[in-house]
Amino acid sequence: MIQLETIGKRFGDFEAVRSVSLTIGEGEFVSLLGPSGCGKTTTLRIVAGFETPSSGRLLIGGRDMTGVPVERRGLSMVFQNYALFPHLSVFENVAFGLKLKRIAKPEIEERVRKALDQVGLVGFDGRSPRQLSGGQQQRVSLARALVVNPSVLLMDEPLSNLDLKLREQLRSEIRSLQRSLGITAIYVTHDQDEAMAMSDRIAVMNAGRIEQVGAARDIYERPRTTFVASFIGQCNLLPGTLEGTRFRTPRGLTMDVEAAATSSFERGDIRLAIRPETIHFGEVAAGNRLTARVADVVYLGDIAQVTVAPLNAGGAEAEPLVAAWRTLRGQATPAVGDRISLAVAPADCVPVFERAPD
Amino acid sequence: MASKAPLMSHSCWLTAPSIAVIAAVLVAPLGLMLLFSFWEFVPGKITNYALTFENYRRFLGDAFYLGVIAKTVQLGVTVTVLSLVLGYPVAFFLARTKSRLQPLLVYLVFVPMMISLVVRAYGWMVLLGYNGVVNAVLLRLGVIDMPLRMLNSVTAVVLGLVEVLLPFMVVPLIAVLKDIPPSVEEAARALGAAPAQAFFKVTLPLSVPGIISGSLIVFSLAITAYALPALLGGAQVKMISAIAYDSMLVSYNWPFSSAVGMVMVVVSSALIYGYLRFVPQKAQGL
Amino acid sequence: MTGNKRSPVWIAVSIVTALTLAFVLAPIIVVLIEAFNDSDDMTFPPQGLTLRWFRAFVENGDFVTSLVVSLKLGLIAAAISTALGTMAGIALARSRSSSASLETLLMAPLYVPRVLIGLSLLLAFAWLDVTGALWGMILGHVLITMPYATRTVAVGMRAVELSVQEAARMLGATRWQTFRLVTMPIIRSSLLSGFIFALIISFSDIYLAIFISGPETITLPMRLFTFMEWDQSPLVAAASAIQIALILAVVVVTGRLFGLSGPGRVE
Repeated sequence: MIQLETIGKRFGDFEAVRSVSLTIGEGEFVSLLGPSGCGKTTTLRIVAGFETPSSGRLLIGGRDMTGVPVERRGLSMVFQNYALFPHLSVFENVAFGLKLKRIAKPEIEERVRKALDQVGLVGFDGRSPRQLSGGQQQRVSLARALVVNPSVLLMDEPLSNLDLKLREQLRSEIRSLQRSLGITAIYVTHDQDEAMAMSDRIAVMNAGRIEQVGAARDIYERPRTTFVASFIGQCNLLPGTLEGTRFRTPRGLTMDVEAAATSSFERGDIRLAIRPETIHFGEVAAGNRLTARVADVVYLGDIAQVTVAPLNAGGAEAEPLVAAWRTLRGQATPAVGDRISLAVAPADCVPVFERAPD
Repeated sequence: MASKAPLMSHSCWLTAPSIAVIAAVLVAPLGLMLLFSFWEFVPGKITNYALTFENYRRFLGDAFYLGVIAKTVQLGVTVTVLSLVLGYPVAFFLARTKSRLQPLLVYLVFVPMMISLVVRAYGWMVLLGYNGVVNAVLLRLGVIDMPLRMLNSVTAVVLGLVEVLLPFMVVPLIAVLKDIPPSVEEAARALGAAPAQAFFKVTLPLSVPGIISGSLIVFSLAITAYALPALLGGAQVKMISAIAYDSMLVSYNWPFSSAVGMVMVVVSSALIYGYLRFVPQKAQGL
Repeated sequence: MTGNKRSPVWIAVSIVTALTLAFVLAPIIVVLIEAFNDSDDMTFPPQGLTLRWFRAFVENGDFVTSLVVSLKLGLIAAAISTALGTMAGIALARSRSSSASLETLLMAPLYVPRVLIGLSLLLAFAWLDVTGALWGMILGHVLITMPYATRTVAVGMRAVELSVQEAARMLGATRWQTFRLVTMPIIRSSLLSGFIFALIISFSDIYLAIFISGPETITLPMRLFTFMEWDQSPLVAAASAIQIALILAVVVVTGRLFGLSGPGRVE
């Protein structure tokens, strides 16, 4: 188990990490997701021991890590640029950590072979890292990290130097290896798909803070801040104010919000998050019904992205919304200028904070 | 995103031994020289700790020494100008040629830097000597009837210094010229400039920092030269460093020698400061 | 004018380059020729070819002693410089880009004219009454060769990714183990280049020799320097040729090293 307790890190005047608290359970796969500069890598490096936190505390397996040097934390790391030892062969790279532990030669042989087998690199022992493709290099790096039986596996954007196909393939390989070995993992990425596909939980970071932690579905369906809502997937973010369970925009659009979602939003600047695919085209009996004019249509294959201008109670055009029209062969998509009916369920109208509360 | 800064604090101490050597073997002796330059000289006595400006007044006020300074500066200017005139085309060629021989040519320009000044001075003696190569060729061609006496002259010193200092001119020039994309010149050509115009209006002005830094370093090395002028100029060419050498090792007037040395320190510091300001980062450290 | 190889300006530039190259190399070439001259005086063209001047060099105790002094001095100074330069070079490579002043400080011995280093060291050694000692020469040579070693190592070190060192730490290596097992093997060729660079600079120095060498520490260039003032026979040429050959041999070997073993290159 890893516990980060109100960890902060400053570099001079720059606060890279602000009061980050996070508990990661045994065998759990947690992603730190965010744009570059959000503090995710610094947080990972604090766990690794490459950075000393300016404030807060880090516990691994219940042990305070303050003053424990990198090499004695019993962790492993996979780096974005693979970081293989260029002067050593694939076998020697993987055996490096075992040799340092003064493990007997036959056992090293056996464990290295097993690790290379796990990452699908049987027969590559004698090669130099230079002779390998990027994907193969990252597999070596993974084998090198796993062979020492670390208590936690840290990964710093390990797939971002690879092309899309390979990324998707390695993604599931890493995930299934992690599951079968039951190893705790922290995964840093800026790629939301990667985070969603791999993680038990995702911690979305922005400007040094964790804005939300939760399972992929939670975060997608119940974002807490405008940042989380817009960083993961597409989202309409209407400005306005909440009165009871009714949300009203400056241009007079009103939306009903599910009562349960409003509890913590008495104060502060909020927005209403509505995912494009939750906007239904056509008449429905219940929910927020809207009439709108089609302003723009962009055909994207499986869907058409339809920008509409909904009409308020007075018949004037209010804030635009983007809706996703599921395209079907032989069925016409709405055309610019059309007047159409739309509906959004109150459960799909999620109030979010403008920015993360302090 | 990952900051390298934290490692700095851990590895800074690694420079300590080097800095200690620089402090003990460079800074401290120069400091001692500064002190000596203000001490009074009493013949037969090594140190007489009485403060005086006499050493500086003598060096900077005496007609003989002023003459030496003037000759040194004149020689420095000559060497600098010749180095620039020869070095610029070489740098231009090496920066722009697409020849496969380019690395070899660069090598050939810089290999002589590795060979001792004394050996190269001897080479010049073979070239310029009474029975030397140049005289042999000129006699054979019938240009002259009697061998010329070319050694022990300002000319010999200038030739030797230009040969030795040329690479110092070429380095910053290549760095600057490589940074000017040929497309800039091509753009000027496309706008109707003649080749020469394009060069003088575009390339040359853009290479001014290289010209300045190269000239400053060559001038600074030329006016502080000692070994080459001693071998090729003989008694004919007395430069500032020879004054410092003589008063240190011949007349044992250490304070005066120190004052001469300090004047050289001040002048070369100013020149090197200018050099470091203008030189492209890549070419630094020659 | 650059695109068009046949332009008159480009041809002129090429010719000047060729002539300048000849000018720069001429002194070295004539020395190599003169060393085989079968004449008792310096003459040109050589009056027959001989190896007798090389034998004269080997049989000349002074020259041989000086060669030994030069080699001893060069090897010791280069070893110390490489050790110090490796430490400083690593620090320099890992320091912030804003540490230009640190770099300037470490390179300072290159910027101070050699004659002033010699003069001030002579003054200091004479004042302390320790002139002519080998260790004094070694100190001076460490000073003037250190920047070359520092820079060479720094360049090699900049090519070593920080994450490679971090990966070693993560796998359980201490700082020292990381240096010994990872960093050092990767920058080995830079280290060797730095050592050889330092050796060459030391081996060809004349300024420190002029000012601070004593009767027991006369280097080969210094021996030549004094010898040349009264004798310019081909013996000097032979001694010079031996120096040139030694240095060129080293340069060619390192040239190969530079080419074959960039940082981290594996056989």
